[in-house]
Amino acid sequence: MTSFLLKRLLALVPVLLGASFIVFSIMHLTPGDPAVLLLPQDASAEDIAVMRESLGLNRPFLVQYGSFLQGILRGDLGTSFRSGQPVAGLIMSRLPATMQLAAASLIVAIIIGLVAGIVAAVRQYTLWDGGAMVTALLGVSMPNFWLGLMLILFFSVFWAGRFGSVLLPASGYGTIQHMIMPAIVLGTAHAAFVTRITRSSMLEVLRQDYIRMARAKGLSPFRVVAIHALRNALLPVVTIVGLRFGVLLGGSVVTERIFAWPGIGRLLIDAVRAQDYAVVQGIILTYAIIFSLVTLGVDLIYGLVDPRIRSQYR
Amino acid sequence: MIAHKKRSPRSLPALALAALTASLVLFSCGSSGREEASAGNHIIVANFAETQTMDPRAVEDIASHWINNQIYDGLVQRTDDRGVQPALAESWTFLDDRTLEFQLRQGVLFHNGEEFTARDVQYTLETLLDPEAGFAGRSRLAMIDVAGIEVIDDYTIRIPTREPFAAILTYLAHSSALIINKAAAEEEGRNFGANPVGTGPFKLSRWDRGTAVHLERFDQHWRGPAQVEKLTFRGIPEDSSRTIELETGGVHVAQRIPETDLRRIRENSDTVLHEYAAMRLNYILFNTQRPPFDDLRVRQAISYALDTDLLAQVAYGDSGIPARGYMNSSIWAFNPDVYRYDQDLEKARQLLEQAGYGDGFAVTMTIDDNPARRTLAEILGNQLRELGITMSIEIMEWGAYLQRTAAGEHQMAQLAWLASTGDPHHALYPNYHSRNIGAANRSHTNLPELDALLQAGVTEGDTEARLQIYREAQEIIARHAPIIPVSDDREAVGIRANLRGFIPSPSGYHLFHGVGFAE
Amino acid sequence: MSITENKTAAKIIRRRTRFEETWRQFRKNQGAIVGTTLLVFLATLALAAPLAAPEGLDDQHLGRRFQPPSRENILGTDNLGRDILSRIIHGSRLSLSIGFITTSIGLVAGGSLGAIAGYYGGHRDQVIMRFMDIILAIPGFIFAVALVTALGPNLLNLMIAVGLNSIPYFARIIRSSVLSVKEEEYIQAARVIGCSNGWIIARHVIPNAFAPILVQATLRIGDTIIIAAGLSFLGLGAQPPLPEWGAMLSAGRQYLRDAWWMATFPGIAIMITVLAFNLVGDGLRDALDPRLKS
Repeated sequence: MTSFLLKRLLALVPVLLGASFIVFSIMHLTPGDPAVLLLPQDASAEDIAVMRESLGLNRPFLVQYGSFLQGILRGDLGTSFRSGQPVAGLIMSRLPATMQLAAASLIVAIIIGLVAGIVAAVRQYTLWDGGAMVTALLGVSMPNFWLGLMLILFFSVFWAGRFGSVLLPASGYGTIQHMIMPAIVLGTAHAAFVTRITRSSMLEVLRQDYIRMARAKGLSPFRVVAIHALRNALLPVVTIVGLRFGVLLGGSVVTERIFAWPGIGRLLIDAVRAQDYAVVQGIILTYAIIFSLVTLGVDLIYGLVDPRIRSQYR
Repeated sequence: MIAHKKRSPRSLPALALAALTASLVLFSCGSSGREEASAGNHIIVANFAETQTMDPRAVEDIASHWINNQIYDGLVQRTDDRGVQPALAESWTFLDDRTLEFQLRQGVLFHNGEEFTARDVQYTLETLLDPEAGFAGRSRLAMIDVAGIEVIDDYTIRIPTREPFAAILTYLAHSSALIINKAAAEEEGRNFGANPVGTGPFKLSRWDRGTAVHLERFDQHWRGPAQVEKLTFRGIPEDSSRTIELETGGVHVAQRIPETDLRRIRENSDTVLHEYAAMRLNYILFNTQRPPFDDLRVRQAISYALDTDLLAQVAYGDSGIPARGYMNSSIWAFNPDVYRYDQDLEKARQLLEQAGYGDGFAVTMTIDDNPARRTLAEILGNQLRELGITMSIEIMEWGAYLQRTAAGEHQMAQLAWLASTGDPHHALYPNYHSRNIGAANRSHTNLPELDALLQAGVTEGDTEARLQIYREAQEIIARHAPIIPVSDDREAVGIRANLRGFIPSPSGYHLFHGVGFAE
Repeated sequence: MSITENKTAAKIIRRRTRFEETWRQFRKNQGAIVGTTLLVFLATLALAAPLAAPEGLDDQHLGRRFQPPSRENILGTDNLGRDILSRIIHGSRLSLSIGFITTSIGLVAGGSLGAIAGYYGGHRDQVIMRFMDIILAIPGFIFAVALVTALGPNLLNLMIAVGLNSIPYFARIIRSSVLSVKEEEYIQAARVIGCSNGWIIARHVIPNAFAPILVQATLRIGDTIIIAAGLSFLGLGAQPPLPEWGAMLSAGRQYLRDAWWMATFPGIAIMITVLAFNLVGDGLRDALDPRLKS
């Protein structure tokens, strides 16, 4: 098991290196000069040249990439052009907010999705089923930024207009009220996916012999569904949640922007715009690491359940 | 299956709901709870962007500077439109036309308890102007001759400029030249921006990155302690969210109320709207070195073709007033009597005819992703269609946009110029002196007679003579038509009605030393 | 009747029955029918946009800015007095083209890479699939944001970025389809009689992967429309005055309190379109994949 884990972790290294190189190249392709963005608009051409030199932007591309890699080996992600602060610190100060949002929305997604999926499966071809499936389809088809605006429109704008105070704050961070809308916005599409996958895998499981057996033995329907069926239907759910985690991270960028959520997604968009290379680089690498680890986690769960997969890496 | 259908797992949803609630409680973040807005000694401010750093040397963004102005003091401080008043410097004299000697205030304490001396001034300017350090504020004060800075004693310092520079005091009043504590800056190095030490009325208490900066009163401030004990700046980039927070009392001050919400804040009895000139001029810009706009007649034709009042009204609405000249009208050297291109489509057609563009042409307007500029470009495209001109719009990221326009790869663009020092030199020299082609002279204007005037304005010490110089310069610019002025920017800051002592500053860096709550 | 003719005839019959069987399954699915109807409607609307829309895509009337939905302007007017319904109708052309073009980019490029990787195996497989892993390691939307910023924000670059994003999905599907048929006897036989690799891939391998590709492509169109709208929402898409739905929504955001209709209706348009593709995609999957039949 340990060697399996080690091998998988080692296999991540080239992928992450490749990802960092691609991102580094893209950032350097971007037209515009980070030095210009830092200086006052009345800066002269000499001022700009001096700033470029001090940022180390005049060195050849590969040299810059090389020193970035050297930094990583020392655990140093570089310095933000824009704020002069160490990138690692910037990311660490923002990461908790992103992780909280991701966790909250995953919880929303899993709970709503499981419940709706189970109800739909257990009551297949009823109104419950139809309703859950239509809602799920709408959930997948809805752009999350639009949902965000609609929620703000209702809970903050209309509510404030009618009752003089907002029901939920339109932006900010710090309390449960602040978290509700962003978590719903980010979680909706996933709730929809979880609903659909739960329903279909539950339907499959419910047809299996051991479930019929359990029922025949007179176990209560709740026990049959919640304990026996659900346990076996969970694997596909774990898979879909893991696979779509990247989409969730991507979606968090827009969500954080709409709700002024102080996570790394918002920091990323700002940094992309300011051509703050080191920050962009560091954040994308962070995303890639998180995503890869989640994927690895899903594989591990699989491996525990199905030893054939594990054996591939022996 | 069928037998099963009747009985639903009814308790599951309830269970799920409980779990959801529990998890949200778990994940709510204890560290930075929403501040209680009602507390009488705590002002909460909605800034329009988050803080980058609290090292005044390192930033060139207005949101951070606003906070820095509460933490630090400068040698001098801007007054209304053209003057400065003493701050850390009590008085000053010009020893010659390029050397200023400052007498510093005695007994001023930094937040770390150290006494403020001339060495701190020297250190601030030397590090700021060190090219190796790469500070953003360097270029603003590059006229200072660093090597010549001389500390006479603890409370006397001489600051020379490379050449005579008439507006030096207004430049020293800028936020880039706020004075930092030498010992703390040396000790913290790169982290000084997160652990600032100044002499200002408020000191840093906690920085929740991306969310808020919490300041607390510095009781030993040389002007006496501030009115309130706590001052919090929240970064709220979403325009309408700032308004909603102000309306509902979540914050007491909201900077940059969007144009669409001005009426709301004005009419609400719980809030007061302060509008002030922002020293900024919004304009349409031609590249005077590239066809078709290298031809003066084409530039004039477009100038005549537009109803700029309408453009200003639709694009900038309540937040701007139609421009009447070539710098923001609140700058003291503004010339309201320059030649004006009132809308005259016939004249426009004739000029185009003469220039050989009777059948129109195709042109691209380059803009950044700014809603007002996008709106303006869309209307402009529609208006120019009448002259047979097909205009396409090219939106770029701000960085790419600045680079392209500096390099002269654009035909038409839109820009705003903020002369934050309030000096006419700041308003004209960067934009129109040929030395700045490739940098801020984005119309690529190259007129020797204008260059001569702008140079004379730098060194001329007499205010009346300077006024004449700049008035003439504006007239020349108007005849040359490198830009079409659209609107004079105004900014709006909204405050809760129970706040007392709030005075908006034209720089946008409103000070909170004297602000408190009504009893 | 010669043997060859006989064979061809049999093949035709077999194909038709397979197609008919699929169609029969598809037709039974109510959602799929609703989705197909919606798609036909949207496609007609897009093709006939100049006729169907009451006004042009950039007919500004500054005298009637911010009009709420009314008899004259069913979905209201925007900040420049343009009819929102008309702009949404014109915009359907953009969104549908974005969906089809980006998916085609992903399909052709990803499909070729996947086929090469799967068919030849070895080093080529390693290199291609590792590269796909790298792209997949960066969350797609974030990759697209960086790429569009680098290339410059406009419609073409947006389609390139979103298209590149789809490559790994198609590459993986086609690779696994290829792997599953590669060792079949008829492929081996084709090789033995000297058919070229390209011919084998085009004639035998691709048709076998047709079903999963069709399903994936249909579902992917919906996804790309949302991703593209998201990029436009961040200001990284279509230039004004193009009535791209995401861009319209984004423009409406600053007027949310005064003119809710500006942001609301483009969003509904996006949702309906994506919903249509999802319904059809689900229907196709159920019909084509016998394992999922219930």
